[in-house]
Amino acid sequence: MVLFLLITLLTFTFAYSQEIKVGFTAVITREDAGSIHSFLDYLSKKTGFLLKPVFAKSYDEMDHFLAIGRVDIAYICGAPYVEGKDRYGYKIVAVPLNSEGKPYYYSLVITRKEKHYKSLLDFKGKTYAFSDPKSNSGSLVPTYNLLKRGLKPDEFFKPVIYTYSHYESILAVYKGFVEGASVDSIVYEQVLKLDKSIGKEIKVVEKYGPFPITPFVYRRGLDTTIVKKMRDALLEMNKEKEGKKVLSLLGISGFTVVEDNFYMPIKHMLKYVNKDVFSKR
Amino acid sequence: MYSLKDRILRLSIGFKLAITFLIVIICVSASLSYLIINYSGNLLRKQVEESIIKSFEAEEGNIRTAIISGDYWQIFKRVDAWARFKGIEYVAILNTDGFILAHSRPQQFPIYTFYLSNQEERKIDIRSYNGTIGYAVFRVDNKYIESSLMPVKMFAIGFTLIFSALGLVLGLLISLRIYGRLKKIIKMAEDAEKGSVYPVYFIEKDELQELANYLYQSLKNIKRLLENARFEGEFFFNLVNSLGEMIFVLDVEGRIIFTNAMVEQFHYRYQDLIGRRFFILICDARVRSRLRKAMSLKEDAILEGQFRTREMKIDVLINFMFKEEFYLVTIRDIRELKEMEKRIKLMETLSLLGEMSVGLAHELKNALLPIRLLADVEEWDREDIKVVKQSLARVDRVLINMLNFARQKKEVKSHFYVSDLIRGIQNLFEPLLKEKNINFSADIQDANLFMERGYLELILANLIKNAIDAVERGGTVGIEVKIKDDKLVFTVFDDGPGIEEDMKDRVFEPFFTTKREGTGLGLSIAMKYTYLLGGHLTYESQKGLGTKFYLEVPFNG
Repeated sequence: MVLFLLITLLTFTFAYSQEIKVGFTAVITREDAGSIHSFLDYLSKKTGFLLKPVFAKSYDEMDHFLAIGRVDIAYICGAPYVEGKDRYGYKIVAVPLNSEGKPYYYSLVITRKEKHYKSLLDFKGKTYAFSDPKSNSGSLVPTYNLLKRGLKPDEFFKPVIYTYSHYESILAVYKGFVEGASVDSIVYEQVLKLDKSIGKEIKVVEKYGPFPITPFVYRRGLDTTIVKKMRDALLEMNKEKEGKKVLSLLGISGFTVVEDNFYMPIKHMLKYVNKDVFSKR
Repeated sequence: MYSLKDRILRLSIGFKLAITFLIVIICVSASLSYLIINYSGNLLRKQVEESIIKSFEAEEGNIRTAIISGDYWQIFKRVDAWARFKGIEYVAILNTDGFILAHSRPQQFPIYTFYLSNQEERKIDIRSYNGTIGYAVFRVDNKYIESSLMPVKMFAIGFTLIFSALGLVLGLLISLRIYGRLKKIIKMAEDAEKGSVYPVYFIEKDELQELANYLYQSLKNIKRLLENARFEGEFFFNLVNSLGEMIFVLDVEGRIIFTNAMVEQFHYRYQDLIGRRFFILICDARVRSRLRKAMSLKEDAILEGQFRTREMKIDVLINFMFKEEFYLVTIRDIRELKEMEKRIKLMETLSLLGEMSVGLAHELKNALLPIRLLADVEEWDREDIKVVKQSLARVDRVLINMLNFARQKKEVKSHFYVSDLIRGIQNLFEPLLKEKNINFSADIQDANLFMERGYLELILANLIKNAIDAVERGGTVGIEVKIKDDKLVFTVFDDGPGIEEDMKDRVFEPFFTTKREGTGLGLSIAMKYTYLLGGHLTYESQKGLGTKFYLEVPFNG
């Protein structure tokens, strides 16, 4: 019995000889480890690589991991992609499709059900959660919208709480630590699907978007054959039964390929916000 | 009605015992429960505190970093986790100014609000290299402590209740047992009153058994004592009733409180006499007054008097005795004694007369001789009649002397002259003196006396009779009477042969005599009456020279 297990293990080790490290950030519910493993196992089987998950606390950390090669492929937010594309040479492997089959998602303003907030602007002077400062839906979108109205988030909210994770922003609202939060709609749906009790307590106040969805990117210098294999595998996922099953676990319906200018809206917002920040300085 | 103290004192032993058990158990278990609950509470509180403090210590670095970097969500997550610790009510992290950075109840205590510290909170410094950068505040959940202690409390209450009930039941059982045993002991005592004394035994060999044993012994002793007392009572009652004397017990006022059956012989009934005054039974006023005097002086007295029976008065000897709280009076009927005394006196007199009878008879014979001679003479002349008359007068004189001597009332005091007394005696003995041709001399210093004449007469007659008997024919017998101080001294002497040396000690013995026709009573009678007169009788005798008897009597008896 022990011998059999050993042989099996060795066989697998040889089969997945190429190790690919896949980074995950706040765009996915990191706590949903089961889904992530199913996803990586599926891709490993399809690509023949040994895919290993690497979790980063923030987009900054992920940028660093990608820069030093600790992560090969990462699932990051649109905003860090836009920023890192030029700085670190990120390129898109593929982008997910939402439940409607489109590569878009939303920035949601959420609060507890019993609260009477109607919009982002109602949270003036209240505790409010942003996820990662670099997140599009969890930071850039509300910042952009406030700045457009001449309001600075750090002054508007008292204070802004950075949770570095959409899931944790949802939890912060759920637990009442913050009055509201801006979160990724894909993550929000996924969390509600995973934990029904949270859905009973939380509601969406306002919806911004649609915005270009969070992409899978690969680091500069990664073998293009690997990229190709990975992309092919991702694009093929919604065409087979097992792939669909894994996709549904992740709360998406498939993958597609987009052009670089697909992220222009985010780039635009970033430019606006950065200009404001610098002008302030 | 009764005060609380009285009520408590009136409770039965068992009830008191049960209550004592109850109080002791409640006191012990209450204090014990209080101690245990308090101790457990403190222990639990300490454990809860320690658990969270340890966790604080473990997480201090992260918390410090989070505070410095303003990562409130991280702080909150920890606060939230700590608040989930068992026994923690809430946890908060404050900055140095006392503002909330995170509180486990964020809705109630939002971030950046000032925190007012509560009592019973623990506050722990969160330190950095430069000093304190914040505080962790937490409070142990009293409800949790209370609910955790609930089993202990329930146990304590249950324990108390069970043991209280047990104590109560035990107390009641013991009380019932004690009550039952006491009832047995009381029954024993009650039965002992009815005369049946028996021991009581219990399974328990304790104080009650000792009490029962002691009581049984006591009752047995009392029964024996009672039997003895009853026997003694009966004995003395019979004794008192069988006495030949009347016995009266008088109270301090002289009322009769007891008398014996002897009174029935004088036709009194016991119930008639009880409560009556004793003195009404005494006829003689003089005796009554003397008894009253003795009573007031609380003295004893022995008196002769007359007792009033239902029909008559009788002579009695009254013995009056003072006995502290009562008087004991015995009354002896001395009628027979008196009678006997009279007879003895008569016999004493007659014995002397008897001894004198030979002389008297000779005197009478001599006196009658002329008459006998004249009897043969047919015709009496004047001279003869004169002789006869003289002879009869002589007979008369002899008989009168005899009768006077015999009829004398001996016990009555009277006034008389010594010379008259001596003359009478001389007359009595005249025939004897003449017959023996005795030279009788009387040297008298006369005096008027008040005493029992008969007694003195008997003494002197006996002494003179002895002297006459002692002397030869033609001898000398004499009497001298002299007053010496307050005494009268009689000396009766003779010139007879004197008393033999070996008989000197026996002369006063009754029935001792050296004479052929003597009774041997003479000197003993003389001695008796000398005693009654309060005098002395002595003698001196010299062989061949004669004997002298000296009688000393006080004037007036």
